Amino acid sequence: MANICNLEQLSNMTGGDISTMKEFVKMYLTDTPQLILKIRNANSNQSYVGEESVAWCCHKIAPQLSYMGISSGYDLAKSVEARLKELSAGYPELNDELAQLNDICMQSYRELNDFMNSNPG
Amino acid sequence: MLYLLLLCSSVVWAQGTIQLKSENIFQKNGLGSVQVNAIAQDKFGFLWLGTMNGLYKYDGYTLQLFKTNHEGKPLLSSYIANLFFDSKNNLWILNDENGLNRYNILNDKLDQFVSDKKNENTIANNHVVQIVEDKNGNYWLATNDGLDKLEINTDSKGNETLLVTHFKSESENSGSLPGMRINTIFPSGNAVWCGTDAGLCEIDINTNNISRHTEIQIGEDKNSNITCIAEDKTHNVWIGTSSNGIWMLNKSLTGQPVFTQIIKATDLSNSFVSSLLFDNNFNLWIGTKGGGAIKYNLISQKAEDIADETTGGKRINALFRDVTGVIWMAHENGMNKVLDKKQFSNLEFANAPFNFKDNVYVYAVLEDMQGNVWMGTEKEGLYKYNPQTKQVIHYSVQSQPPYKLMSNDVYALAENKFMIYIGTASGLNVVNKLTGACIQLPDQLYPMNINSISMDSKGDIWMGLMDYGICKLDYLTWQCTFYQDNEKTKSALNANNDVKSILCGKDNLLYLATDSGLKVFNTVTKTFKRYRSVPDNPLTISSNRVTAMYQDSDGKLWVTTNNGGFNLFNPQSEEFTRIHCPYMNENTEVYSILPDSKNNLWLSTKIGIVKYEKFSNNFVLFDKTDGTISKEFNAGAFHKNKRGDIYYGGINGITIFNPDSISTFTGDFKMAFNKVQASNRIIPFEFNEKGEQIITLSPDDYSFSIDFTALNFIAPEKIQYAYKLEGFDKDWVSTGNRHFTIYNNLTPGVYHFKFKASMGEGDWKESPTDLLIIIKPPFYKTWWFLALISIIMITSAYTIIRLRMMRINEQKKKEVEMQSIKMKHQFLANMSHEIRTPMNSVIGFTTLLQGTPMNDEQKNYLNAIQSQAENLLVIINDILDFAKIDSGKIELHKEPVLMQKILDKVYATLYLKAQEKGLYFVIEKLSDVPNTIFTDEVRMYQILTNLLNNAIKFTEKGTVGLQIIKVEDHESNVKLEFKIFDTGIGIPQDKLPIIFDLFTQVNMDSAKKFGGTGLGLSITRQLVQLHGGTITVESEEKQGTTFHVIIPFEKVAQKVEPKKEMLPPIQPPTNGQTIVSKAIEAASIEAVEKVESKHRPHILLAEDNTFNQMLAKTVINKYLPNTDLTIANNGIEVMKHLNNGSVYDIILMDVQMPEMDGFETTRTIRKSDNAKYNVIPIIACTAGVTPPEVEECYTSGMDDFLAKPFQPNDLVNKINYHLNHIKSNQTKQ
Repeated sequence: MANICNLEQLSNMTGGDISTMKEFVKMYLTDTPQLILKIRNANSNQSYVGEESVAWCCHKIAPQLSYMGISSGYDLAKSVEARLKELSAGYPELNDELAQLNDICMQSYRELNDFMNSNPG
Repeated sequence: MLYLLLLCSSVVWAQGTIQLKSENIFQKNGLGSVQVNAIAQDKFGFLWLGTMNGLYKYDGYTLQLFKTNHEGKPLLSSYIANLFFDSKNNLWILNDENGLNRYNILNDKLDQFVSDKKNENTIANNHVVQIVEDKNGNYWLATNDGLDKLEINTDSKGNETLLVTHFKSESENSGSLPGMRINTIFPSGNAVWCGTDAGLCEIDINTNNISRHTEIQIGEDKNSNITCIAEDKTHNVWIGTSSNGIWMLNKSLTGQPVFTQIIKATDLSNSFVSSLLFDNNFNLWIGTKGGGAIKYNLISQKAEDIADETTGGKRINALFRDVTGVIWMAHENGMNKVLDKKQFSNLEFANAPFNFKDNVYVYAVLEDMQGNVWMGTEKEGLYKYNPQTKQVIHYSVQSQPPYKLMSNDVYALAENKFMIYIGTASGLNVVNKLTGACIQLPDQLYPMNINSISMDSKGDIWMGLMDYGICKLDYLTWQCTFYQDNEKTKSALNANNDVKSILCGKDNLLYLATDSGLKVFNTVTKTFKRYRSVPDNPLTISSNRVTAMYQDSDGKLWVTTNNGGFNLFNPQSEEFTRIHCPYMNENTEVYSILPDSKNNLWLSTKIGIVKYEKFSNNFVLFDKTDGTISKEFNAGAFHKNKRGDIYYGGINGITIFNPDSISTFTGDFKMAFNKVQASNRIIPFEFNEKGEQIITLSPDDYSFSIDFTALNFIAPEKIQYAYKLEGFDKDWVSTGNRHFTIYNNLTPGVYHFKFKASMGEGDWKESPTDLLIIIKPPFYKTWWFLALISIIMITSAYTIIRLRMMRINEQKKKEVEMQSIKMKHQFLANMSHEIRTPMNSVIGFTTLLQGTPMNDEQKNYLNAIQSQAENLLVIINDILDFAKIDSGKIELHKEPVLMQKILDKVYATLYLKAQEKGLYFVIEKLSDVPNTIFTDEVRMYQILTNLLNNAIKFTEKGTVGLQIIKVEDHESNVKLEFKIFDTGIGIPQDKLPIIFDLFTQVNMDSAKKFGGTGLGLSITRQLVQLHGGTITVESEEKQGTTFHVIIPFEKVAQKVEPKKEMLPPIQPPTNGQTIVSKAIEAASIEAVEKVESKHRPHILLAEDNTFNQMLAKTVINKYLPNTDLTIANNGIEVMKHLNNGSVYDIILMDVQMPEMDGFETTRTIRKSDNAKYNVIPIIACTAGVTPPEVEECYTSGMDDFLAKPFQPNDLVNKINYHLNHIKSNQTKQ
């Protein structure tokens, strides 16, 4: 399976400083699970718009996905956010899309964890 | 010519009762006496017999009691009175008084017709005696209650409707039936003749008009009972009556019917005429009830009684002539087949114009070159009969010269051009053909018994002598030469030289029949050679008593012996071949062998005449029933004349016949498939459009027999069969007379079976149609099954592959999940490691720092740092616990623990928190609660701390407490309840069921407000459950919440007195919150001052997300190292920073933030009167990039827009732009 993360942008941002990149990755690994968790809760509470809602969390997670070069995840998060702003009561494909987003994040964790392990120190 | 004359004279001589070849087929089939009432023949040639015991089908070999297969429906009755086949292959079966059955032999369909008085269109009476079909296809029924005309109409769907016209008798109506009881009906042209118990009438089948014929007097009784009607070839109608003989109706010149009595009743053996039948030889066969049968010749007008042995019974119920001409007589004892074919002509002494004594045995016979017939007898001398003049000359001892014989026992006759040689018991006599005078010569032969005479090719006469060997008579000199076999044997003294018969053969050999075997005399070497029987050697002659010989054109010798033996001797190999004749046995004496022109051999025997058909190796027996003079013939009494006629001498006469005219088989034959049997059941035939018969066999019918028949009843035993199953048999399989075959284990498919039959002379005739045999495959070989199997296999394969794929996918998914879990654990482990390590350092250094001199403010800050660090550690620990519990790795380490120790620790942990919130915090342990419990101290502490921590967290005022109660006390354990209560915000009722679920928080507000991971309660419940306990909750919004934790503890013997029974309650503090606020405020001021003093640009980042915070911080630190950065987590904090007097050059404003979002914050800033910050450039820094969102950013008062995710230089450029812009403005000012 091809990697979904592309750390080229992050490398640019950090001037190729691995330790800084690791900091960001570590932050990503810390933050996004919280957001995924929030998305899950919000979805189960049918909280689609407003603070701490699915759309809100997608809004939050989208840039981070982008910084990790996860374009598919970014697009998906933005798409969910945009559609929920139009369809505040949700829509049929939402669960599948969130599951997909979850899978993308899980995959990114594996890849980024490898990155962390392969760059000790 | 002679032959024809003899035939004529045969007729003239014949008189009295006639005996014909006949057999009772019921007795032949071992069925005894069965009354047969009716006979019919179907299109295939099978005979159907109606009996008192049911319906039989006859194929010439066996009688088969027939049962219809039609849905198991039986006939109306087993007593069958009459039968009739109509033009549609329906067999009408009349059940006496029970109505009609109609059985179609092609489709095996049975219908029944019975009388229904309520329905006009049913038959008038169930007692139907006869049914016929007229030329219009309508049926006429003779019943005991009048005549019915039955019209059966069939519609296009095959449904039949019945229209019945009833004809009755009305005494005053001459247009009605003369009598109500109809005995017989007969269709003839456009009329149906109807014989009633009161006379005869004729019905027009088109108009239904009835013409009575009772005005014509039939005999003396006008009310004559008409019993049967028949029609001859010239369409004269013949009428049989019950008491007035037989009448014939013909038309007068004026067309008027004229009745003539042909046979008076008194001339009949019985007056009741039951049946009339015409044959093709102008004979009328008459059956009577009680007097047997009579044959009446229409030409000679002579009637002959048929012998009872021929009819088989006295009460003739029916006469029937099948398509091959066989006459069948149904009677009370069964049914007789009668063959009226006399092919043999006889010269019978009893009818001869000269006087014979009774029981005269003819021992020699000869037709001389002049056509005179010479008959040598035992004891009666010799007769010469001139068939032309009918003159007879008798030669005997008693006769006067020149007709005087030396002996009246004449055993041999021979002739040459001038002489007749007469072998007698006392020597040789010679008759001069020209003069007829008889002389004796030579003296040497007197009184020798001459058994046999044979002339060689030179004309010399060779004689076989009793006891004296053989003698050669020179035909010129009349000199005798005697030859005797001097071999010494153990047999009778003269057996060697008692020559019964002599035959001049080829190659100068004489063949001698003796009682000591076959002898061969070489006339050149004058030597004897002997061939004797060796019982166990089949290559020797069958017996030593040789009776007759014949040498064929190939030089092979045919030899018969006294024990019924029939041998073929090959002179070259000197070997015998024994041929079995089924008619001959040990007691069968064979007297002669003669050939015919077709190379068949004719044997005169003690049991009759046997024909041996060399081609088919078949034997045919003819006896008196075939017209021979007698059953038994005599040795030496055989002769074949120059025309090929054969003479056999018997008792009281001779039989003369031409072998070529004796037909062993006459008439054509039909061929039919009789039945097919499989698994002990008869397989019904079906018919296809070609008229082929079809049978369908199931896979279980692995063995089946086919019974096929050539239907000729004259001599079925003579028919030869061969069959072939195309696709299986490579060639025809000959079966001899067997007419069935069996097949086993044929593979499923369609086969064509055919057979052929022969009359025994090689002229084979094939069956006109094949029998189609369809063997269905077992279900597992049918196309649909194979297709189904294929589908199932494909489906199965697909399913298996699919399942496999699913399994693989599931496995992969599981692996992914496992990997995910692993990742999660790894992640958590990483987090714990990465966070806990520095946190520990923070806490550790904080602790160390607390030990150093510092002022109160510094202490407060330090305390705050430590407190938050500890809170963070708690969260981390929660997550780690969750991970451990989730993976099932958590284990309890139980040991005796003082309850008070745990409570003290809990109190110590939380009292400050409670105090900070001004809460009343109480822990109460009731007195009966044991001081020592057996538990995991750490986990117990964790349970209580979690719950109490929550209570404090969600309680703004009032009380938080813990109460411990003993709820159960058992011998080995005690169950305690830990009641954790508060007066906090409470939990909505609808959230109570999920309060213990993972990641569950009552609502987002509380989550935001109170923080936490949503794991605490879930972890607590699982820890309680690990202790074997339960946790429940009750709550009321805004009133408070109570958790009930009930845990059983093992009792421990060790008792430790508690230090305190009740921890002192804490009082609400008054300044806890203030301390923290002050510390924050001081830090902010210091930071602002620092910025102002160094004139460094100061950026306020409003961002709730730490990642983004760090990102911004990293970029700014890296690219704008001389810039200060302050981070606010939400709008409120922004406002606090601004209102605290901090001066910022730029605000980087996230839009979506808790508490107060970016829009609201911006609007607040812009609306503020505080000139210090209401004009600060605000750069929207958001992921909301849709035009409305961007628009709203500007609308709210922001100055610029930076889309997340951003590139570092974008951020730097934006900041620099606005800093430069500010600097530019300041310069301008």
